[in-house]
Amino acid sequence: MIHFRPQLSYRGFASRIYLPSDADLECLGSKMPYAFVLFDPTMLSGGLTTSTLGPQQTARGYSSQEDGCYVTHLVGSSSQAAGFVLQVYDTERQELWTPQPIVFNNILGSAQEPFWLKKIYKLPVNGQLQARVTNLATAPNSIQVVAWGIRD
Amino acid sequence: MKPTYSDFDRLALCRARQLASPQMGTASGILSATTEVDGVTPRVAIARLPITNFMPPEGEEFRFVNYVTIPAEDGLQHVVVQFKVPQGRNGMINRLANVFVGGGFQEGQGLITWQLWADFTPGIVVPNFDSIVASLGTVYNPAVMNGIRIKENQLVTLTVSNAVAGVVPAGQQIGGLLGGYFYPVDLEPPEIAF
Repeated sequence: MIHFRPQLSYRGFASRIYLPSDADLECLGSKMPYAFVLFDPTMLSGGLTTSTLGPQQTARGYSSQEDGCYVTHLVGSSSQAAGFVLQVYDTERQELWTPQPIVFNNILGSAQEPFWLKKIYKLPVNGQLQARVTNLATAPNSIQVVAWGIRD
Repeated sequence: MKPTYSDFDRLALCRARQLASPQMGTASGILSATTEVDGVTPRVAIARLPITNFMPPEGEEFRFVNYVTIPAEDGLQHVVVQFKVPQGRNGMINRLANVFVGGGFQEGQGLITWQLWADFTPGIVVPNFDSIVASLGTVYNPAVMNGIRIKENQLVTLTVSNAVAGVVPAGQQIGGLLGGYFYPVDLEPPEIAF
């Protein structure tokens, strides 16, 4: 049974749309929407409190959550047009989402047009979902990467 | 009483036989954890050394060297050494040299700075190599590094910048060397992180 057929014309993947089954939808009953922040300059390592990432600098962020957290779509923003590149690593599964850093607008969506994952992604319980961000601009860049999803 | 062999001795004996006669041993010619020698299965066998430290047999070494005339005092990045990682291959940079040949340069002053780019096209700078203010190694004696991983199709680049009101150009030369090795992508360790 088709419950919902998203009209995501902006997502040009030439593959079948993932449609949730009844069992998938039943799992959502007791969950709530949640934003898992993967990267924000204020969470830079070293305890620095800043609102930007320096020119051409690289930094890491992470999300560490309890059981029952799932990612459904990705959203990111950059204050500089040059943007940034992103790589995500799951420490529990010990796998990189992509072998190489990906330019932000190819892997992240916006609030208006989120980047929906083909399948929901369960956040690691005994690990972190880490994001490594490299600023491509030659000026300070305010970068945010958020994995939206659901949790218990 | 007949002497007995330890597992290690048996493994060594098998390897010696294998070298003497290529028909013996495993189909691939490489000992593995399942190779049996006289009914004994070795507990540990190293099929190959870590590719992050040693070039595998399928690898190919590189030493890209170039010299350019000192750029104008414009504060922009100018290419010194550049190469593209072949398709289907990743690699490791473990030798680096960046030198200034001529007068007017002072180590650490910051008027001449080098940058190492993992991929020059989108502009990804190698973390911690974004502002090199000193000569880390010479072309004839490059600095030895633990390794910077590079991936297929990346345009690896060493650039130099002469700051505004920097070193007055007078025919000086900027030299650079990037050395290391390429290896097939499928040999990339599965647990590799950033």
